[in-house]
Amino acid sequence: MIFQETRSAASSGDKLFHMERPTNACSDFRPIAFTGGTRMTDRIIPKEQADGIDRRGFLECMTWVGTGLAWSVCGGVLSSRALGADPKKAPQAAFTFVQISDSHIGFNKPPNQDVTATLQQAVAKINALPTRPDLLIHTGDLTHLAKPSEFDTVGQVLKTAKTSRVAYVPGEHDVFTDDGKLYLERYGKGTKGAGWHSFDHKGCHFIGLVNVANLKPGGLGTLGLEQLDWLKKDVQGLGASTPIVVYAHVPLWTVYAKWGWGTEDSAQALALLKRFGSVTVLNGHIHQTLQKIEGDVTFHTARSTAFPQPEAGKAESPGPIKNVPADKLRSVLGITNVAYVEGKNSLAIIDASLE
Amino acid sequence: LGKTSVVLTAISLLALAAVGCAEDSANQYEKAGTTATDGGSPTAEAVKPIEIVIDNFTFSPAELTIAAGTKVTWVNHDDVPHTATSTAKPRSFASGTLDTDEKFSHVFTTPGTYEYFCAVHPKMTGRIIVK
Repeated sequence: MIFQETRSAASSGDKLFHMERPTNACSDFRPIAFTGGTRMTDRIIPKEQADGIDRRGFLECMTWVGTGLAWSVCGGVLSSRALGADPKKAPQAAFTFVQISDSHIGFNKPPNQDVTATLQQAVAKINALPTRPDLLIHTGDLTHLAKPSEFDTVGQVLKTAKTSRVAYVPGEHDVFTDDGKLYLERYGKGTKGAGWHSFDHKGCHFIGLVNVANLKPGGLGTLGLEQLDWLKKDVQGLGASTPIVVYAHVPLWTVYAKWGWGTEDSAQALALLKRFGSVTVLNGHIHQTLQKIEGDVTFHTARSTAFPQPEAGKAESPGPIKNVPADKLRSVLGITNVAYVEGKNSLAIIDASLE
Repeated sequence: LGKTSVVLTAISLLALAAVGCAEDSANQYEKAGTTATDGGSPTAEAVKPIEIVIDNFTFSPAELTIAAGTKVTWVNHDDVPHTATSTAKPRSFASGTLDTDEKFSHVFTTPGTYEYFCAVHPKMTGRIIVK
């Protein structure tokens, strides 16, 4: 009951949190997100401690996850016991997985005329991780124009990733030419509908959602009733303590509606996940890292491996940032590494650039 | 004979007058319609092919009124692909992929209002009114 009461306080909205630029509170924080010449808004600092989460513990926790742009990810009450007060007793991750996104194979304009090379660099980065990831999740826009040759290249490059399993969800670029037919043939085997699916891995429940099918004129991303109905059935047998990882291409919260950076019916999906103590939502689409914590839900977007896009509203359109100097390009592309600590219900998310 | 001739002439004149009236009213109707359609622009311009430019994730002009038979061409000047896809089902037109600088044309023969959008970026919408 305490859990529920606390949750309702936290779910009173964003008021509990506000965005701030990274501080140097933790010596291991090295903010590296760099977009179009300005520092991005990288991390969420709690405005109040009303949710009872040990924020100092967050910062200490981050010391074990290494350098790079580290995020506090342990949203929700359960995370307060997930983080030991003594950072030296670093918990061992039960497993890690990696998210990559927006490889846009087929794109060949400034600032990146060789997106295959940067995808290969992303894979090299993954293969060089100290812990071999159990899974690799690609959150869509595998290709730029959904051409067979582009899908081929994605498969060839990702085949070299040292991981046991690769999961995909489509982006709008993968499905707009043929309503997703080729995508489903190549990357959607065994999935439902437009490519949604779920699986369990070492106690975590992974859910891949598709919010780029049947897009309505003037609208945002959409999940649709059929998928929501499937989601309801998919999670109904799970215990509330099961850590949930949801991934979809377009953000499942409204980042910036004017640019289509949101999902119309995401609130209905999140309502179905409300009873869970740890929900991590991973998205792509906006080609930059952004995070929001709301109650027990952590929302996070990954960088692209192809090209950066402007911060919301900071340009005339969400098109690629073209004027990235060649020697800076890899600093604005990247991968996301996520660690799950068994019994702790907390997932630590680290974004790393391709540098 | 003379009488008959006069009567026939009179009938012919009446007939001509009637035709003239019909033609006049048809022209006026057409002109009135065209004026309303084009907001005062000359009829000759309405039948010229028209180009809609895609720039910065926007169709320009976003709304267009044309005469039936007008050929409309979309050209994409963005660095990312777009489409011009009719919202009607079944779709009355669909450009397919328009990568950078690619064009798509469609001749609108039937009067009506045609809404369309970009299937990649659905926030991009446009409307063509065919008179």
